Amino acid sequence: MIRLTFIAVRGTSSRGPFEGRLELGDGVQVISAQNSYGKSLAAKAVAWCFGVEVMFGVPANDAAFFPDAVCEELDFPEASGAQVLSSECSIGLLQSDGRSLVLTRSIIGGDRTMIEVLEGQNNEESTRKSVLQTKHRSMQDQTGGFQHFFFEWMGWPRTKVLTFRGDSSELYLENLAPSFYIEQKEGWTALQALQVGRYSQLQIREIATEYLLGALDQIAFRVSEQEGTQQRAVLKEAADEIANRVNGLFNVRGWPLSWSSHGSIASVAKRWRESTLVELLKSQANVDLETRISTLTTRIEALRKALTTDPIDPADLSSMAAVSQQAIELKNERHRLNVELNSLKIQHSQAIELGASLDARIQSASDVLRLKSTGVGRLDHIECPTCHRDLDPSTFSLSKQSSEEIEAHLEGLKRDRALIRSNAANISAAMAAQAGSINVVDEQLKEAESTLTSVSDSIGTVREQLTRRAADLSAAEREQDRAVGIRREIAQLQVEIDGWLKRADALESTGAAQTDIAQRRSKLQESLARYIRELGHSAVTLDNIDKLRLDEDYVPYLGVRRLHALGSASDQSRLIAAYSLAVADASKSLGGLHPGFVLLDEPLQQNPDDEHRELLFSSLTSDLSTIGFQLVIFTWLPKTDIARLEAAGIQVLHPTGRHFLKLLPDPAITATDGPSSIDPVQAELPKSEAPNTLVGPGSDEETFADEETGSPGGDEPP
Amino acid sequence: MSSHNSIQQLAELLQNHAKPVIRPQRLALSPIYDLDYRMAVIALAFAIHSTKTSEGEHRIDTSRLKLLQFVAQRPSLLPAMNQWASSKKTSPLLRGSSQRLRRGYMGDSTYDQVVEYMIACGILRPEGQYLALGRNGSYVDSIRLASEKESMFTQERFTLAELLRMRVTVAMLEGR
Repeated sequence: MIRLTFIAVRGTSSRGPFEGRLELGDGVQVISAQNSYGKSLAAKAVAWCFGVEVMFGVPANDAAFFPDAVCEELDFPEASGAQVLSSECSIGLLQSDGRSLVLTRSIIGGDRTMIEVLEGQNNEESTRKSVLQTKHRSMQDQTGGFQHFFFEWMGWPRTKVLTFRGDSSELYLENLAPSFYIEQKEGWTALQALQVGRYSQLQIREIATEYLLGALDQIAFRVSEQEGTQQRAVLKEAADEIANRVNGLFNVRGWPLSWSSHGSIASVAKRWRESTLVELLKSQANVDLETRISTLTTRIEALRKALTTDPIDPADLSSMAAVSQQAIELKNERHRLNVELNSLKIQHSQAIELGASLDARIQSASDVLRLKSTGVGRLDHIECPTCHRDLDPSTFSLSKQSSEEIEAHLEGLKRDRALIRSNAANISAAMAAQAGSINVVDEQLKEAESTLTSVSDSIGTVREQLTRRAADLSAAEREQDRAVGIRREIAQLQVEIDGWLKRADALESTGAAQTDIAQRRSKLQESLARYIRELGHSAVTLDNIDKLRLDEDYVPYLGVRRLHALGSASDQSRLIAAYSLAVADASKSLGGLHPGFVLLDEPLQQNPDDEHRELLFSSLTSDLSTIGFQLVIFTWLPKTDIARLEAAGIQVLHPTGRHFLKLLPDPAITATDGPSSIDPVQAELPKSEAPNTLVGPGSDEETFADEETGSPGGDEPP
Repeated sequence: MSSHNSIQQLAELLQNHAKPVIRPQRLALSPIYDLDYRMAVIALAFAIHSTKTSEGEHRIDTSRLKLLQFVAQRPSLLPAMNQWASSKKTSPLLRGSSQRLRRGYMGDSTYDQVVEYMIACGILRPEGQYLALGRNGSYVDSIRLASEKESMFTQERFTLAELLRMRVTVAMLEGR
C-alpha cells in the first residue's frame, strides 16, 4: 500500500516564482483552510499527477478542470494580477516497503502529455528519473507508458475487460480512482460518480470495486461470462443467418420445410442435431437428391441413346400430342398452385386481423382486471331512487365477473393469440413454399412450351421425334445440373451447421467458476456497516443495521430499498465517504489492491451544521483514528475543532494566509524560467527550508539524491 | 347422422381411455359482457361525445351512444365506420358494411340493459330520445379521470376520439 507524502504546486509568474506545498503523514490527515485558499487546487493536483483527469469529463491532457488561478492569473498579497507563465505540480508517494515515487507534471508552459517520474529505492540514496507519456495507450506502451509503469510499480496486475462494442479493453487507473478520490463537486453525488463511462467498458463499476478488493478470479469469471454472452449473441445471429439461407433454399424449390433458429442456443442445437438437412428432406418432403440425380443420369443416358442410336418409327405421331399434353398439365398445375396461394394469402390476412383483434381484447380484459382490482369509479352502494331498495344487476339480466374469471379469460385469450401467431407464421412459411413451387412449375412450363414450339415447327414425324428427344435430353441435363447444384449447396450448409454445433458445444461446456467473492463482499459489507454507523447515516440505526447489505453490483441496500434513496439529502455524502473508507478498509483486511489512501475533498460541504461536524469529529477521534490506511480530508474547521482533533492525535494542517500558492522570495529564479527548470528533487526540501511548507507532526519526508545530475536532493531551494 | 356419429365416437372415447379435462379459461365469459366494463365504456362515450345544451346540461342521443359504445368495444370496426361515414358504397354482404354494422349495434341488447341499470342507479337520466347525467352523474367524470390517470381503456378512448372526427349522421343511425 502507498500513501501520499506531499502535494506541491509551483511555477513562475510575471512577478516571480511561486509555490505551495503540503506535507502529509500517516493515518488521518486533515487540511483545514478557508474557502478559496486552494484546497481543491491541491486535491486536483493529485489527480493530474496520476494522469486521471478524464474522470472530470475533460479530454486527456486537458488542464481545464484546474482553477483559473494556476492557469492564468494569481493574486498574491504583495502582487495582485500576476500573470502565470508556467506551472506544474508534484506529488510524493511512499510504498510500505520503503520505495518512493515523485510524480511531476506540467500544467501550463510544458508538455502536459509527459509525467516526470523519480523513483527512490529502499533505504538507498540512489534515484532513477524517467519521463513517461500519459497520452494515448499509456497502459499498452510497455517502455514509455505511465500507467504501464505505475501498475508495475504498484504490483497491480493488468486486467482485461470488455466493451459494449464487443472488443477488449483494460482496467485503467482512472477507473479505480473514483473509489478512493472523492472530488469536491461531482464526487459526492453518487458512488463512483467520477467513473469514466466513455470507454464503454462493461460493468466497470463492479470490476473496479472487485479489483480493489483483490477479487481477480471474480473479474476473470465476470469477463468470461460477458464474453460468453457476446458469443451467444454472435452464435444466435449466425444461427438466424444459416436458418434463413436453408429456408430460402427450401422455399425456392417449393419444399414445405422449416429449419428454425428460434429459442435458446441449447434448444436450437438440440433441434439441429436431430437430423441433417438431407435426412430432413427425405423424411418430411420426400426428396432424395441422390436417387433423383441417379435417376436423371439414367434418363439422360437413355435419352442420349434414343437420340443418337435408337431407331425412329416414321409412323409414330404421338410426339406432338405428348408435348402438348405436358404443357397443358403444367398449366393446370400452375393454376392449382396459384389458387392455393391465394387461399393462403386470405388465410394469412385473416390470421393477422384476428391476432390484432385478440390483442385489443387482451388489452381490454387487462384493463377490466385493473378496474376490478383498483375499484376505479365503482359505486359502493346502489339503490333504487324511488323505493330505496338495493339494486341487483341480475334484475336487469346483467352480471359482474370476478377477477378470477377475467384472469382465466385472459389466459385463454393469450393462448389463442399464441396459437394464431403460430398459425400465421406457418401460413407464411407455406406461402413461401407455395411461391417456390410455382416458380419451379413456371420453369418447367417454360421448357415445355419451348419444346412444344420446336416440335410444332418440325416437319415430318421423324424430325418431330428427334426434336422432342433433344428437348427432353436438354431438360433432363438442366434438371440434373440443378439437382447437383442444390446437393452442393446443401452439403455446404450442412458443413456450416456442423461448425455451428461445434461452437455451440464449446460455449455450453463452459462451467461456473468458484470464487471467493462472497467472502470479500461480506467483508466489504461489514466495513460499510461500521463506517456508516460511525459517520451517522440517519436511516441506519442499531435496530436495522443487520438489514444493510450489498447486492451483486455492490450497491448498498437497507432491506429492500437502496440506501441511496433513504435518509436526508446530507446523508448522501456520508454514504459515499463511508463506502470509500469501507473499500479501503476491506481491501486492507483481504490483502486487496487498494492503493492505501483515500482523499475526501470537502466532505462537510453539504452539511456544515454543528451536528454533522460533531459526527465527523467523533468518528475521526474514535474509530477512524486507528485506520490502517491514509485518509486525507480537505475541509475547513474552526480553531476549537482543530484543537480537539490535535488533542486526539490527528494531524491537522491549518495554514495561514489567503492562498495556498505564495511568491518565493528567491530572486535568483527569473520570471522567464519555465517549470522544466525546476528539479522535482530540489523540491524535496527539508521542513525548515521549504518555503510555505505546511508540516504536520506525523509527516515523513523523503529526500533523494539524483543519480544523473549527482546533486543531492533537497539541499537547494527550487 | 354425422352429428350422431360424432357423439357416438365421443361416448366411446370416454368409455375407453379418454380423460376429460376442464379448462376454466374456456368457460369464462369475455369481459365484454361484464357490467363494470360496459358501464365504463358507456361512461367514456358519454364523457367524450356528449354535447352541452343551452342550460349547460350534458346530453347525448341514445342511438348515437349505442353506436359509439358498440364501436369503442370493437376497434377493428373503425375503418368500416370511417368508410360508412364517408358514404362510400360498400357491398351489404361485406364484413363491416353499413347494414351489417347497423344490425350488429341495433342487436346489442346488453347495452339497453346496462343503460336501464345506469338510469336506475341515477348515473344517467332519460330525456326523450336523449340521455343526460343523473344525480350520480359524477361516476362518468370519475371513470374518465381515472382512466386517463391510470392509462386504462386506451383503445376504447382512442376509438372514441377517432369517432369524434367522423360525422355520425341520423341516416347512419337509421342504417341508410
